[in-house]
Amino acid sequence: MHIKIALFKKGKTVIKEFLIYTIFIIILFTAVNLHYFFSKNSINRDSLTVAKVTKITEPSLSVGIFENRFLYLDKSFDNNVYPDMMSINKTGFVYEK
Amino acid sequence: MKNNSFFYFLTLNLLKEKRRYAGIVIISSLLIFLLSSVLFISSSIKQTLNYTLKAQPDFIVQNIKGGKVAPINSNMVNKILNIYGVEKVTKRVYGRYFFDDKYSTLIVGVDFLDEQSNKNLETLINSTDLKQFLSKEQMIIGQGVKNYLKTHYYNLEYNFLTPDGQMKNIKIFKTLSSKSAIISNDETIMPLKSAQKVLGLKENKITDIALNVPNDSEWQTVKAKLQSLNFNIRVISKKDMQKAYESLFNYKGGLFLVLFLIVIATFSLLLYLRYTLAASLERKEIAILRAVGWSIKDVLKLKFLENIFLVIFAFILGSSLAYIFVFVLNAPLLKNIFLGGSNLTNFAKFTPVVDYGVLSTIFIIFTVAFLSSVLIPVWKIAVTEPKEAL
Amino acid sequence: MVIIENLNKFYEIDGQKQYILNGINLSVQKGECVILKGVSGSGKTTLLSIIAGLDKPSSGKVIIDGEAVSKLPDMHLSKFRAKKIGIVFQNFNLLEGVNLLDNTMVPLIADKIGLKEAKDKALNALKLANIEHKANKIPSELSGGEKQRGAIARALVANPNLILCDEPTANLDRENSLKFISALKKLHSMGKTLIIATHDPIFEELDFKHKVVEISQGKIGFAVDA
Repeated sequence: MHIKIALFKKGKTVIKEFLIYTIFIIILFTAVNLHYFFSKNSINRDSLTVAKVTKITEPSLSVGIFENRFLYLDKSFDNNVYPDMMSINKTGFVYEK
Repeated sequence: MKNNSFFYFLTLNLLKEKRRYAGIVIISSLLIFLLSSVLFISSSIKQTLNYTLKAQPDFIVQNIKGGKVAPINSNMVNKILNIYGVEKVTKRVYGRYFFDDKYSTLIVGVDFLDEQSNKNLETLINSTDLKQFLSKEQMIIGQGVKNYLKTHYYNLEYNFLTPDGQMKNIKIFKTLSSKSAIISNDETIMPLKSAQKVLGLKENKITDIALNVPNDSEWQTVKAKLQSLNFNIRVISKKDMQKAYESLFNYKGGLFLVLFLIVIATFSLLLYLRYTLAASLERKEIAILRAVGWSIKDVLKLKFLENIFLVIFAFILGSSLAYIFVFVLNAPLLKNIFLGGSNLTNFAKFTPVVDYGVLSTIFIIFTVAFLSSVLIPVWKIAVTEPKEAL
Repeated sequence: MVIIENLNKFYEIDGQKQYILNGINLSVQKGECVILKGVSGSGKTTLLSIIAGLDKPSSGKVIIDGEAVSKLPDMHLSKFRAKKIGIVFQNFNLLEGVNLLDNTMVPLIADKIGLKEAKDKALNALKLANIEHKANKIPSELSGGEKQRGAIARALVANPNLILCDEPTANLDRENSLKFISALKKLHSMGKTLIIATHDPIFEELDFKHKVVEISQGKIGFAVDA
């Protein structure tokens, strides 16, 4: 008899373990959906307020995607360590004189 | 269900191979996690940009010199106002200010005396603050700018170096919320005149002109009229902007395409492993089941349920974790791929957007491929005489 | 109970028929114990597999309880096998990683029996096979003899009338073989029909056998009523 009881318990633990995984996944799924339901569009409003003031809607990629970088585009020297040294990729010294 | 012997055997089968199945679930959910994260971020950014497009003027008029945008005369505003059907013609002054050769901010000059701008500003900062804000030369900065200035000990003000070599001191009034950081992270909003000074524009020069045309059937005509104002004028419409945003974060191209290819390759490998696993290790199990009286249908049912459970488990786990990663934890690491990490750190918060259509397509492709990689070999084994498989 | 009529099994190699079983005719009455004798490769395992419906004959038929087994479609054949035939294999064929009790109840699951009832029946079968004390052990924790008794329990669980044993003592020592034979005797006393394919001489001493059938090169050499 004691074998029988032990075996039935074992059987139930297998199903129990399975149910635990299933419940975990259901809870995760529900939590995510609830979060989505209550928070969608909440952040967009702030972006719209700023965009209304600036009239600029470009994403803030920290680099200009529609503008050119004028400043620092052309460096006057090539070598940071010896700024006075003539650059090796220029041929001006050959033709200048 | 607790007294169903088939269900019991199903759970037993799943749990007896716990390690192997856990491996399959982990790899599958990782792949789904990657795909879903990319999808969530791109659709969230796209949705935010599309949403803020409401504030985007219908047309922007720029002055082009040598293919580059050059300052435009502010008296052009009056010429545009003469075009019939045009409304809300606004001067825009903006441009990038480089703190050094790497970090930069987008300076935006706003004409606070303009009625419309004033009203919008009121929603951004409450009315009591507004008076205080307008009383001095002050600026509102984005989170990324604030962070940069803070690390350089500029907590209250900043001295801008204007192109003519002068210093321009402007006080920091407020920092914009990280909720708007997708568009405002690197922005510095200041009065129009201050912006002109910082960007080296003369008083009668502005960056470009924005305008609205409420009747969209007039768009073509107005665009043509604008174009005819001057030979070097470029007109950008709202639609062009929209298209640019679409392609900017399109998950079907560029870097994402490479990511997809990697995911597909890994997934194929996983399927191949699952296929060989089913064809070799499960071969004997199926033959035994058949020999003790299980029909082909019973075996297929068992394997189908077993694997559909794995698939659903992996899918929900992967996509839910991706959701938490992107919309709760704000996608550390992955965010930089989308919003750039080499310049100012972006503090953007993503608006939760779930594209159910694409998500269910991923689910269907994943499920069909996964199930067929198991069920085809299982079916092949099940239909052969059990004696051969034993 | 079991009638085998003109049974042939052959493979065609280069257009030549290679006979595994050639014109087998045999009848086994209910409650009989029949020993199929023969050297390895003589065709006894194939014959047993065809009787069990695990393999199809090239021609001829096997009739069990009035049903032509070899002609049944899969759904019916599986049900028929689950209810009427118990099989004990040479290498036990227990499911790995599943304990003996669960292994024993596998044939009942396809029959949509409730879990509690299935477990009760499995436990009874384990008792009959004298192995209930190892019910929660998985096959890798059992000895050869214990596995074999587990296999008997599984063959018995659905209470079939026909039990087929394929070289049941091939992997057992003498002591375990004798234990197995005493389990068979118990089954015989319960009125089960037994067909045992073996080349183990220990079955010569069996006192409850009705018939010994010698198979050599796919044909019945002789059949002796014991």
